[in-house]
Amino acid sequence: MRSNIIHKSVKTVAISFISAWVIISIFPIFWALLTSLKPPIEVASMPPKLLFLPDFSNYKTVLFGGAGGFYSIVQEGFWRFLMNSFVISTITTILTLFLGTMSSYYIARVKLKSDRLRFWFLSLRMMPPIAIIIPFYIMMKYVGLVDSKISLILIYTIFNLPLTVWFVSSYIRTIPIEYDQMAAIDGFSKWSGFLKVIVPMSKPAIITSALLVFIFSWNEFLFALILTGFKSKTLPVLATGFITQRGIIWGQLTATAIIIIIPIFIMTLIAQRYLSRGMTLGIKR
Amino acid sequence: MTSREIGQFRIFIWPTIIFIIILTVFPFLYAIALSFTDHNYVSSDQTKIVGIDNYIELFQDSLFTKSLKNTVLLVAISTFCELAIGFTLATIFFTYVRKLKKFIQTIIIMPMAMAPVAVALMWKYIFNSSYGILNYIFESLSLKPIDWLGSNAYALISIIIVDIWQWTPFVLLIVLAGYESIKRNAIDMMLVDGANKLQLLRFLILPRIMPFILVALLLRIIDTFKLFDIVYVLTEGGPGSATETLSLFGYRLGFIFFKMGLASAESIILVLLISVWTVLLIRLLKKII
Repeated sequence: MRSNIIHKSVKTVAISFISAWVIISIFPIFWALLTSLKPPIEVASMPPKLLFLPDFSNYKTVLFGGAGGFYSIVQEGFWRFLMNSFVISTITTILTLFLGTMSSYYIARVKLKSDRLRFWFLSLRMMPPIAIIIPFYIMMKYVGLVDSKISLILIYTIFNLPLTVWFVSSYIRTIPIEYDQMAAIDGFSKWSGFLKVIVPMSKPAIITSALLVFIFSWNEFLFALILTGFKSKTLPVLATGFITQRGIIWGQLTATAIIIIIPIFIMTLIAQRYLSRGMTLGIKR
Repeated sequence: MTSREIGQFRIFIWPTIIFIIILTVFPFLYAIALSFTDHNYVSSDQTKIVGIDNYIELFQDSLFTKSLKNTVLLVAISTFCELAIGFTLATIFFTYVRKLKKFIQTIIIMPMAMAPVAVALMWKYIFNSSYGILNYIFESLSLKPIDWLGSNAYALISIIIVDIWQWTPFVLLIVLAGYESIKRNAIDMMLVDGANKLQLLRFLILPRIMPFILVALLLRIIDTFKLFDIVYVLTEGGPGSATETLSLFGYRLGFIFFKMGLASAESIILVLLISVWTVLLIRLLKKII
């Protein structure tokens, strides 16, 4: 009887703890969303207004420019920066998956020393960005690729290859080698066997990696800050532009933050399982 | 596999190897070389080899030692809190959460999928000393409002709070993976054998989840050492040098002052600090995967 009461109160405390964390997780996002929907005059009102008529003027100003727009770049070209982010993330994803899946096939099938190669790849992932960016910047400057999408695509691909190889190679290992042999008997070359048999079978790992690569490239800031200028700026770099000497335009800033997280938000909702697995190096299944 | 077959496979790895040699190995060796020179990107002076002078200069620079101290402090406090909270959450999630499992997990992992810049911007508004919600809550509880991002004492704490908010879910996921690797019937069998909860924890659960906790710990240590985005947006290292971190300091040296030699030396120190943990992590992963 007594232990039952203790058990119940432990359970209550536990459930309220996890509920509290759920609320804490969602609150800043909710608060930013709320702020972004406030008419500009209400943003700085104290106490914060919870009831107000939602107003999309901040989004309008960010996306289409207009009277309230303060930051000229925003007025001139939000769509261009959105496209930059999108194009860079998409091409990075394709290039990384192309190189990554190919090398995964090698690593999974040629057992010779390949485990060491796999862990060596993983250790590249741990490299601090700041250590690579200095020489990389000098190299890109030398070949005239600073402030072009190419330089970002290249460095994002490098930073994402390790995890992609890590995932896809461990997945291909679980595909029995008999499939390769059957493909060979059916007259497939190594290359077409890879494309027509192995790649379709590794879909789950490829999807996981693709999501991770896209999210990384979409969110990345340090490389983008250094390697992009006016032409190739991505959304995260643009967003920090709202912090100006003259103060911060909270309404437009939170609207931009919300715009940046919307695609990722949708991806998380759809592919939560893949993402959980990906973000934990595949430890979580 | 015959050597002829291996030869046929090489075509699959070569593009990546070439890519990595040109864009990772070479730049990294270049950074090591640069760290022994006084290369300044904007000055027209001839670059000279200065040996280990850059490294000596760094350790005599109070801003560097301050950023080293801040980074170590950040790593220690953030990872500790993330581990403690993440472990507790995972335990609760595994033991008690039956309904809404997917829903709760989705909400909890949301922060770590978000752009750190977006996260930091949201929190910058929350922390704002005059119209941030946090101080509003403090005042309505008749507590003294705090200058979160503008005071020496609280700026670092603010950054730690944001890091904990964003990365505790990561620990939760990994520890949860540990719990899920334990077979339910193993737990049942021990209970049938008359083991009490403490014994269950000591002899079955802890040994199984310990490696997972360590992986989470190491990955968090490695990533927190590299912390840049959140600090850049929230405080830019200020006030003064209160929140200067190694990555931020390296960025400043290299891309504000263009002292590429010194900045390279700084980044090599960061690489060394991280590589210790990476070696440990790889050893551990080899064991559990």
